[in-house]
Amino acid sequence: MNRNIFNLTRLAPWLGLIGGLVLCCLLALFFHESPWHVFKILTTSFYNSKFDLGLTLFYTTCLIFAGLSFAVPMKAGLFHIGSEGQILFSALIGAYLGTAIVPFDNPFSFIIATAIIILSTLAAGAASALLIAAFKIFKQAHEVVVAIMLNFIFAAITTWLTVNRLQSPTSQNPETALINESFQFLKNDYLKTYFENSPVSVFLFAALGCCMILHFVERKTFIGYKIRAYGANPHAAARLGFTQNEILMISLGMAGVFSAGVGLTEVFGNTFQYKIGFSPQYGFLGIAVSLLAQQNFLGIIGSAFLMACLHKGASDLDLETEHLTRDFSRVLQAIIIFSVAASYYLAQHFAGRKRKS
Amino acid sequence: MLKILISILFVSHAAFAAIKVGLVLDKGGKDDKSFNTSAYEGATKAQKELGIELKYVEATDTNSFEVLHRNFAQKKYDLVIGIGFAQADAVKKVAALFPQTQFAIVDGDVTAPNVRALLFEEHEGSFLVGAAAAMKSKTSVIGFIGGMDIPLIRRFQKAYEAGAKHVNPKIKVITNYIGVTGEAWNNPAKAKEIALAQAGQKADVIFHAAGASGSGLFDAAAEKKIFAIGVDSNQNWIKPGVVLTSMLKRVDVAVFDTIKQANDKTFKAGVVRFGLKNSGVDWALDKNNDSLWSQPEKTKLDDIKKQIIAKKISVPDYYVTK
Repeated sequence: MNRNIFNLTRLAPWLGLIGGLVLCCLLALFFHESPWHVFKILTTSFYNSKFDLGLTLFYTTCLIFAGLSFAVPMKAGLFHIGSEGQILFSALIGAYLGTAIVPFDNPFSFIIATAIIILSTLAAGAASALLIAAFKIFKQAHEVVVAIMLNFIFAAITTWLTVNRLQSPTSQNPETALINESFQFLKNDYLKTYFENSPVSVFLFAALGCCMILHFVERKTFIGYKIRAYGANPHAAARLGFTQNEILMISLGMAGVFSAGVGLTEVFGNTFQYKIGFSPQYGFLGIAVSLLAQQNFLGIIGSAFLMACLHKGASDLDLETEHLTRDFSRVLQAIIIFSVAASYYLAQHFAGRKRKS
Repeated sequence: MLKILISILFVSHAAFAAIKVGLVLDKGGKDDKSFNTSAYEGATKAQKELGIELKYVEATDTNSFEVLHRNFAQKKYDLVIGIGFAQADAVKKVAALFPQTQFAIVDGDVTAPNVRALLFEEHEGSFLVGAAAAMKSKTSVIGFIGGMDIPLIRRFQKAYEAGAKHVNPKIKVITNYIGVTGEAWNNPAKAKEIALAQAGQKADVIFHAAGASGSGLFDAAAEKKIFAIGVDSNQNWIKPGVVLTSMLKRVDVAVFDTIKQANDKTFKAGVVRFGLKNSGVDWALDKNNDSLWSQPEKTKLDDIKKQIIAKKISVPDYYVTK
């Protein structure tokens, strides 16, 4: 491969990012805002203070998990958009178990209790995702339709349970009670203190770890090979003896586990309770994160961070400027995502043209 | 062109002598024609009349409340006002970190030395419009459309039913909620469907407590020639002749008064309750709906209002008795 072309495709997303930012700043001129000011907010708002950085990293954590939840089934050729419902369901299960289980006063029982809660939350996520697989296997239903409908069903179940069964008695807000105090161990840990008590938690490292492990699993293990083979050509994979059912269960099960990662991050790392409406639709933002990184597991880290900065920058734009509102900052977000995504195709287009000549 | 560019590039904020007020609106945004609009109007009124410096922001998600409050406090704003119960935790946390800054929160019960909690007795107003609906219903069937099924909206619903039963013990109240996600506050299409369905079950007065979704109810009511009741802001103007009245929740007054007191340096922390007694909640009567009400009806409603204030009628409060 020509070295220049290689560099071009590598640099493309960065050029796209810069191009998008420049476009945004020029657009700001129409609204009588200084482009330089807008540029400064968009590029620096994520580290204004340690708290801001912590919040951005919290968003990054959730978006990595959500991105993975979309990317893994995508490797097997499944368009999985059910993450949002799984996030809500697993978060509620986590919050419920956190209030219902009371560990005895010794470290051993505490560790067991914590493990039970975390594992059952992950299992709840996996189970909710496996429903999609079940519908596909037994009823040949398309995963997109099942997933989008399950999103609403899970939203309905969680809202109903929260308001009617698990409503916190000390609060009039629609939320569950705080989880048992002994499970709030992430409340005052070193990380939280360093970031001025912002929502970030050690789940960030779990998310980063997941990306690295998946990167390895995808390339170096049999399971990774199976999923990739199925995604590339289901018929050929069937010839190799990999059945559809197996692939569906593995990839969607993993997707559910990662969705539950968002739930855990929220319930055990941030608010320590289930609040209705806590998620700014991480599940759907995760799709953009994953597509932006072209399902590259390490790339998801970068794209999740970019999306987190944009999400954070969006509310700061509203705060720091006179005329730009929240809605305008959403337009800016879209422009940046669009130009980064477009840059891939442009790079491929140019690379293809060079090869021809 | 270049001149404009330069002037924009080097824009500098002139210093004001009056106080700086930060307003953090809920996710619904300032144009929901209802709750947030009311808060925004109160603040802009203060901006015009008192010459305060106002900056408003609309939150993007639950986590951003804290950032917005923090940023306002860090920028040395004198008063930061949070709109909506979802901001209670953020205000509690940030108020403790910035004891010099004054905070106010609408609908959130926060007690701190620098926080003023503005609470509304929504059930009193809902009882009143429930009575109004029962008086105007010919079919003895009325409807209620809530946004999301959360305690705050049940407070509206329960008192609305009680108010209707107070006037007509045999009345039937059909209750529906729009959705199960935050989208429910901004889904006029679904509100319209529900309203049409309720009209199909012979409901001829429908009350909504669903934020920006309410406009769907007004469309449906105009189509089916039935009455609708607005909420929070005075919504009588939206469809004159169709909107019977509005259950006013005077967030604008609460916000304006708070800003005024902060400006006069008479800001007091603590819980302030707005009910029928101090016109914090009320039913709206203006030129848009005056023709719908006869004098005896007006007198009867005002009489019920007086009885509630005098505690002769006890209004069920969902927060107290679940």
